[in-house]
Amino acid sequence: MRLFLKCLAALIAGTALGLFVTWLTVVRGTSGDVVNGPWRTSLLTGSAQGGDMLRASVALHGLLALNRSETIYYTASTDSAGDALDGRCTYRVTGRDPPARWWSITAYGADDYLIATPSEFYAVSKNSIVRRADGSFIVTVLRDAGAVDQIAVGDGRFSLTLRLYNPAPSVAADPAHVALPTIEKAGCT
Amino acid sequence: MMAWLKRNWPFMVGGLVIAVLVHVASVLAIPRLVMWRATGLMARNTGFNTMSHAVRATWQSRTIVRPSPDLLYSSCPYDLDKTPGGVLHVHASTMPHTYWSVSVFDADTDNIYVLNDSQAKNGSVDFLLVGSESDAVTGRSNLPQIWSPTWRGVVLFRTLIDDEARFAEIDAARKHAACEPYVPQR
Repeated sequence: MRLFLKCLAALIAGTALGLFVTWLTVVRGTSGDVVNGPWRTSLLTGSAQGGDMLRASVALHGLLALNRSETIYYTASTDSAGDALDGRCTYRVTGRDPPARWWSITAYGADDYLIATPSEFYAVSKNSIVRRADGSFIVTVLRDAGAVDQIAVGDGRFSLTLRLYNPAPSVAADPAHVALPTIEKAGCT
Repeated sequence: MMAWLKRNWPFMVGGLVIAVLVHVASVLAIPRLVMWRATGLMARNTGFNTMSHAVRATWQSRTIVRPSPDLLYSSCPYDLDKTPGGVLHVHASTMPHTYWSVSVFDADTDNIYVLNDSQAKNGSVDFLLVGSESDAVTGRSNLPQIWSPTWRGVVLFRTLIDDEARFAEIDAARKHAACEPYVPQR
């Protein structure tokens, strides 16, 4: 009887440990091995060469993602100072057009879906932003938005995804050093 | 403590082996399970091997994670096992004048094919998606053939809304995208 209980305990503990490691590495894991400021990406997203861990992570956090020849996805869960993005704070996303045929920045909640806010300002894109005289732009990310160069994120934790459609070859060649927008915290309530 | 370890080390080693096996099995299973659920949800209303045109993504869109509100999605969950000959015909005669892509994802979530508007001839799409055992069936067709490593998966059209004023026009044009079981012409 004691032997049976010990075997059962080993089975339960081993199963729990294995699932915990999966949760830690895949469910809560980061979204790519390439770091560019607050942004992370993987050039193997969508590719059969991506490996089992990346494939599992993409299935949970970015199902049906395209391969790098078509679209490169950068995701930020922190600002440029390394603090987690939080809807109780306001952020300024500053930059210039990334080298791609088309680009957009979209906010997602902790559940990886679009965030419910009264204004439903989910994203900005190449055609929707307001550029300054020097060609740069400032996008404001805040609890609820009211202008075309703003993104509404509600009250909770969120992340931003920068999509580069048909990226220039320079992006895939050196994804860690391509010029991407910075994310600066402007204040918190 | 040492005496306890001496008595129980086989169970601790066994537990660690089980942990490794469970971890590997769960990592391998996640993509298949997620894709199985996603294709099932997509096919819930229209069935497999039929194109459906989703409305623009909002916070209420819960079928696929991280949808883009700049894109209009048309999806064809496929099951080649449910087509005569195991072949699917994917086509779109007149796609809108904006960025669009058609991509194929197998049951392991791998993006096995993609074509965009600048690569497509005459702005149209026309290809066959074939299972491994059906090549001979489609051998007489002139259409490009894409081999799917798995019987199930998704064909996905993404169409960019590059101008809100053109939304109705783009939405109407992207609905030319279609898929159905392929019937060879005699």
